[in-house]
Amino acid sequence: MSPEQAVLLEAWVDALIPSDQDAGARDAGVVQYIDRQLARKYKRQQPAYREALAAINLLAEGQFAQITLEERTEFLTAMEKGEAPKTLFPDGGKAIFEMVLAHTMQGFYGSPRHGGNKDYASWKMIGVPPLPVRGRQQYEVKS
Amino acid sequence: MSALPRVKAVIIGAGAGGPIVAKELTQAGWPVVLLERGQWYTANDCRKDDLRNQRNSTLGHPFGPDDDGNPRVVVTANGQQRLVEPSGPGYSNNAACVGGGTLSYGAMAWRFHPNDFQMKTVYGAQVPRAVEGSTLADWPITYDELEPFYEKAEWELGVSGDVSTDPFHGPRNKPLPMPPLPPTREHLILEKGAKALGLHPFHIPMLRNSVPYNGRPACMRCRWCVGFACEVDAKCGTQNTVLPTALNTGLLELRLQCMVKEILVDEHGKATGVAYFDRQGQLWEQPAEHVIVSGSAIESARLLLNSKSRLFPQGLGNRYDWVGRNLQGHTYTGAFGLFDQDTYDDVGPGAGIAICDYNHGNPDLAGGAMLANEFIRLPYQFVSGLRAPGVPRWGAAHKEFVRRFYRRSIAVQGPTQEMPFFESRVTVDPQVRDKLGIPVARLSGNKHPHTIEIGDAMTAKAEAWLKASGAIQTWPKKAGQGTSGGQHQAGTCRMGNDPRTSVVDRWCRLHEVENVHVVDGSVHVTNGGFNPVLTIMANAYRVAGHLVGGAK
Repeated sequence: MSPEQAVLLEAWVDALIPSDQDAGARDAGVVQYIDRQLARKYKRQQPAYREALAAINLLAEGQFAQITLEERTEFLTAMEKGEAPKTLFPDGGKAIFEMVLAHTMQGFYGSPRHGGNKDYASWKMIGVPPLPVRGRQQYEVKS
Repeated sequence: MSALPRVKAVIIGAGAGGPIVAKELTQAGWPVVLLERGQWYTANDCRKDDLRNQRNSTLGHPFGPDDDGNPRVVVTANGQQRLVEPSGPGYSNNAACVGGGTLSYGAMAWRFHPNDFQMKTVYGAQVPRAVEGSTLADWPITYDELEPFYEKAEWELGVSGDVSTDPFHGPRNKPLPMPPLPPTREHLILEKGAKALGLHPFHIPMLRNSVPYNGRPACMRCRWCVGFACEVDAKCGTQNTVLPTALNTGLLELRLQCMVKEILVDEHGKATGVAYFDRQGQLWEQPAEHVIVSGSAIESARLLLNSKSRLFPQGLGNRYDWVGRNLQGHTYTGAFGLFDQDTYDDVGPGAGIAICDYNHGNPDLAGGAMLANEFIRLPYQFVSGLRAPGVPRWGAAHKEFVRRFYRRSIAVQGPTQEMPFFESRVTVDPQVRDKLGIPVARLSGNKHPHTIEIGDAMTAKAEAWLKASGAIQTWPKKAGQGTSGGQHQAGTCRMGNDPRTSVVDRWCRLHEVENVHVVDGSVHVTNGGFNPVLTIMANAYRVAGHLVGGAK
């Protein structure tokens, strides 16, 4: 992913899991998770991501990374319902929305070893202890 | 194809059944070869990865089969065909490794209820809907015949739990060898609710050490249990119990990464052995006096159907077109509940309390289900599986829901008794082949309508249980349509007395080939309202004992 694409995707996943008193997808390295998996398990989805990021930026007149959370949420809600312009998304945005949503949840709530859930952000939020080294041995997690 | 030295028996598959047969035969002095398509994993392969395990294979699964080159064809209800890889949806995967599913299972160790062996007799007249369009039948054996072998499995592999407060189980000669694990917070909450309803809660029997047993330690109550290899080896699978015992006899040769292509027969219709590919893809012939098929319901059916010859043009044991029929797993239904107090205490394995009040005796229903709390939920499992109606799937409100209720939610569910269905089946695909060139399994057909009815009735029972336990909100988990297979896959080589309506006889021998046995979930006539693994194990002991007693 190019730096520009990463910025766009960051703005996207931030609307799916926003930051509040606890870290959101942006802080928890979800983009890093997706980037890593696009080179591995999700290799075949590379073109889909490329097209989707270009399309959503067109939709926001080139400003998707700059507009407010509310505005981004509005665009994504339209895609979820399949109501985004068919000129940009053949199915109104549904399929790609679902894919990014699934990958975002994986990156945020899954094991940190895959590049997401940085510093156990989501596990801290819900109050489960981090991975033990082995058995029940814990080590200090610095945040 | 090079032929190897002949052995007394060749066993295909080192899952729940194969290693038990291997142990019994080698202890009786038989030289045996056990062929396993996968590898041998150990406690060190636990890896605690929430996205890559046998329960949640989002990023693939560690214990096989490999996603590359092992597809299946899945036919949906509207006739659409999909090519599915092993970690994909609808594949009905069982781990392909030494121990099979028993390496990474949740390890519930249920005995079927006596009625589960006589479903037609018990329900045929009172619930005609269950028989209509189904192949509901009695097993040719009874609970009482299997009872001593249930006990043998419980003691040799190791089961902990306490069923003394469950009045609904069949007679037992001996208690379980290990006490239950101490109850979790969730367990205590549900116990109170069940008792308030006049139900009979008890500690689920589990193939898991609660105290040191057989030289392995007790469970450490961690979060990574179902779907994982146990990091302290406290879970009892065939790979760390009966298989080492069998290897210690010196009579067992275990060959890994060997995939059987077909069972070979001579001109008299007797099996002569098997043809298999080794890890380099070289084809070998392993001659044997007896062939035991233990590949699990889908792969065993696939192997028999792929074993075509002049005498068996439709595949082995398939003269009456019954191989691969009646594929059934378990439709899991139940309910979710939210609470205003913490229910979560981060103590595994999570599942611990069950009720069997609804397995049988439900008016106008042919069976029911055991209901239990769910295994401990990893954060991603919670997010992908549990969301109250009306809660959005993303955004600030979804995040708030997870934050608030991850530690305050309980799922209760159970494996619904299924009505076997002739059209729910495994065939071999006419075109698609795996990486070795063997035609792949093709799954088609859906669930019998009465199965859905039973499942729906169970959701109401589960909701009532959660409400009585103090849930502030509950909602049902309904049954999906589609082929039922999954890890509890069964039924494809039905046991029966009549060769025209079953594949194997009461001793699990093919009706039409005297030296081929099937020993796995395939032979189950019906699959109970319980996880089936202990029944597979008990039956393996029963059949192997008969084999060494009856064929010296």
